[in-house]
Order: sequence, then structure tokens, then C-alpha cells
Amino acid sequence: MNGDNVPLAYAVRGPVTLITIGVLFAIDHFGGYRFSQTWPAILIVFGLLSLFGRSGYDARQRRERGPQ
Amino acid sequence: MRRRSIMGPLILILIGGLFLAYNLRPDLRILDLLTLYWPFLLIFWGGVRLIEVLIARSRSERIRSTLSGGEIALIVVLCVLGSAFYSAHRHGLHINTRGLEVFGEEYSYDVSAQKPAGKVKRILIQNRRGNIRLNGSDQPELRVSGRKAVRAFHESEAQKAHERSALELVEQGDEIIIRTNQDRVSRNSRIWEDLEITAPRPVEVTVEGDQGEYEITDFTGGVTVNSERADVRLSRIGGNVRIQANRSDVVRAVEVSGNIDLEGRGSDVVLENIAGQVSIHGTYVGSLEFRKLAKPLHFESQNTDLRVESLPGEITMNLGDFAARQLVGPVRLITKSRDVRIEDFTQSLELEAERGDIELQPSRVPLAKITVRSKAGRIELALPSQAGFQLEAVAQHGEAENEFGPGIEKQTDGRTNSLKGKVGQGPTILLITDRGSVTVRKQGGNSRAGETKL
Repeated sequence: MNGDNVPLAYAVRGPVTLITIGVLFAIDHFGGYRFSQTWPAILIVFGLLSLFGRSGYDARQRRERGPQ
Repeated sequence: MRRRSIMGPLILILIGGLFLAYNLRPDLRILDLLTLYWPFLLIFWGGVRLIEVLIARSRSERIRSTLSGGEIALIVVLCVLGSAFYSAHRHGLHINTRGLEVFGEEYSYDVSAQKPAGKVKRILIQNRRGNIRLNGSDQPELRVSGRKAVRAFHESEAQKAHERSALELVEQGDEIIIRTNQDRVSRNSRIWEDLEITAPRPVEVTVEGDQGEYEITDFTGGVTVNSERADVRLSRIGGNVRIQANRSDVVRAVEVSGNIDLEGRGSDVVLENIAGQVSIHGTYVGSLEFRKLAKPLHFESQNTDLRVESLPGEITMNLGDFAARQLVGPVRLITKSRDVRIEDFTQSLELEAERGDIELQPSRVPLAKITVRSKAGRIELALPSQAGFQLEAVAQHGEAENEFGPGIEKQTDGRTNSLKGKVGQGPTILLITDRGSVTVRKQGGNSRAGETKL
């Protein structure tokens, strides 16, 4: 059964956040902005992915429960 | 079924590889590289996990919802250590095979020395780190002046290092050795010594060092440079030039009467007005420019083999392009992946390319013999309208277009198109491409193969 599956946005939350951290550190080393300036981007990315994951999850829950 | 991530084994392979590189090639400065580039490891890691999630999803397998606890701990440790090492690196703390190397303050000292050099035939300069500007003069005297910068924690330590690495002019027979003796000082007090040297014009000059920019002007003798990492600029040199540098940003030689022999790795090479033979062996990733070479040029690298008898015009090339005009043949070019454009060449041209478009414009009559073989790419040949030749042009999986006019016929055999013909009396022209089109046209027109004709 596929019900065990978490939504995609939830599942990619970890890897995408990791990539974001890597990119921010790379910008720190080679670009113009310091990591101390750019770190809030991690919260934003993580928050957005959680948000998309949640809305997808809720929609499926409603579908599975059927109309009330 | 839940799959285990491939990241564990990958990290193990990476760690093994890094240690191996560290042991076998200490000169690569693996730790310095890691300090700078570790964020890309995070990006790679995230990318691998992302791909794993997407693959698992496409196969409807159960997805591991997020990173495991162990992974998160490892990432945190990596971030903390990486940032710490990086900020240490920026503040002058280096870790190398000899352990921790800390740079303190910089103290600088003037250096100077002179010696009569009327009978001297050779000068050897041994300066491990630092720039050298060397000028030939009519005076029978060797004059050295410069500035030495010593990095140390205390002034007394710097002073001691300065005294131990005193500049020496040692006369041995008809040779004078200019020695800066930086190797007498421990590596922790790093020394950088810029020298300005004036020497009699007829001497032979040899420069040995690890790192620096060398500018050598106005000598009638030869010049030899041996360095780990050097930018070399030569002008008005009468003798043979030999340069060996494992790394260089630029090697530039202008007005050299002797032969040039260049070996190593680097970026840009500029050679102009060279009366002797030029031979280059090595990998140069920047732009190469050759102008007015009176004798044969041989350039050999991993991807390229170029031979030209002499070059009244110019050749410019980089990793993606090769452009040349006015070559005296026989010309032979073997290249892997470059767009090639050659105008005006004599004797014969032999060209082999793996990938890239080729454009040839021989402008002199009688024509040179031409042989071109390409694995993938368009070949376009623009001939003077009065030219005589025997043509065979084959596009094995592509179009063949005759825009030259009468005398050339097109033949089609399955997917192979070819042009054959004889116009007047002249040399043979053979053009073969495996994948790509072949076009033969008259000079002056500007139509190109591959464009749709209405």
C-alpha cells in the first residue's frame, strides 16, 4: 500500500535543506554574502517544504476519508 | 522494501580517496582544498539523497522521510569543522604536511649587492619565492637590489631569519650564483624576496625557484627558467630559451632570436616574433597566441598536436577554438574538440578532429593539398574562384552541398552524400566527416551549410 508514503515535499525536505546549506556556505566562500547574513534562507526553504508537504498530506487525508 | 542510502559507501570511498591523495601527492594541498571546497560536499550529498528519494518514489517504494540521525550529526560536525578551518584559513592559519603553519606579521628589509662581472659568462639565480626582474646592460657589472618580506611572530625572529637568509653573490669560474638562501630558514618564517637585477647583456641566464614572476629583458645569451610555479615574461632575448614550469598563469616571449622550448602546465602562452624553432609540450588551458614565427612550431598536448613549418601570420587557440591565418605548410593539426578556422595556408594541410566545426579558406592559387577527417562536425571549404583541384568530399551521415558550381557532382548512396569532381589542374582535396555536413563554395559568398534553403 502506498499510504505509508509521506508526500514528496516532506520526503525531499532533508536533501533540499542540505543542498541549501551547501549553497549558502559556497556563497560564503566564493560569493559576496556571508553565511551569517544568509542563514535565514534555510528556515524559509525548510518552512516552505513543510508547508507544501502539509497541504498535500491534508488533501490526501480528506480524499481518503471521503465526503462527510 | 526500504533501501539503504548509497551515501554511506560513497563517503567511505571519498575518505579513502582523500587519504590516498594526501599520502601520494602531498603537493596537492588536499587539506587546503577541502577547507575551501567542503560546501560542495554538502550539495553533492543533498543531491544524492534527493535523487534517491525521487527514484524510490517513481518505483512506489517506501520513502525514507528524511535524513537519519547519524547523517544529521555528521553534517553538523562537517559544518562546524568546515567553518572553523575556513575562517582559520582566511586569517593565515594553514595546515600542511609539516603540521600547523601560522603566519604572524610581515617585516620587510632592503637587500642589495654588486660585483664586477666583465668576464662572467653565466648567471644562476636561486630564489625560492619571489619575483625577479632581470635587465641586460652594457656595464660590466652585476647589480642586485630588492626587498625581502619575512613573516614572523616577532621582529627579533624576523631579523634572525633575515640574517640567516642573507643574499649572496658567489663566483665560480665564469659563473656567478645569486643565492637568496631562503632554504636556510625554517618554513614557518615565510620569506618572499623581490629582486631587481642588472647584468651584462651577453651572459646566459638561469633562474631556479618555487614561485614567482620572472621578467627578463635584453640579453644576447640564452635564458633557462626552472620553477614549480612561475609567470614568465621575456623580451629581446638573443639565445635559446628553455622554460619548465609546473604551473603558470602566463608565459610570454617577444622578440627571441633563438629556439624556444616550453614544458609544463599552465594557462596563457603568448609567443611573438620568434626567429628560432618553437616546441611546446604540456597542457595549457588558457588562450594561446602565436604570431610571426620564422621557423617550425610544434605544439603537443594531451588533446592537440600541431605542426607548422613557419607562421608569418597568427594562430590563436583555447580549449574550444582554433583560429589561424597565414600558415606556411606542411600544416598538421590533430585536435579533439575544437571549432577550427584556418585561412590562407600553403603546401599542405592535414587536419584530424573529433568534434567541432571546420572552416577552411585557402586564398592562394595554386592551392595546397588538403586532407580533413572529422568524426563529428560540419566542414566548410571556401575556395578561390580561379582554383584548380581534384575534390572528394564525403559526409557519411549528413548533407553534402555543392555551392562551388560546375565541375563538382553530388552523389548519394544511402545516408552517405558525397561531392566529387575535378576543376582545372590542382592538388587533391579530401574532406571526410562521419556525422555532419560538407559544403564546398566559392570565396566571397556567405552561405553556410546547415542553413535551410528556401
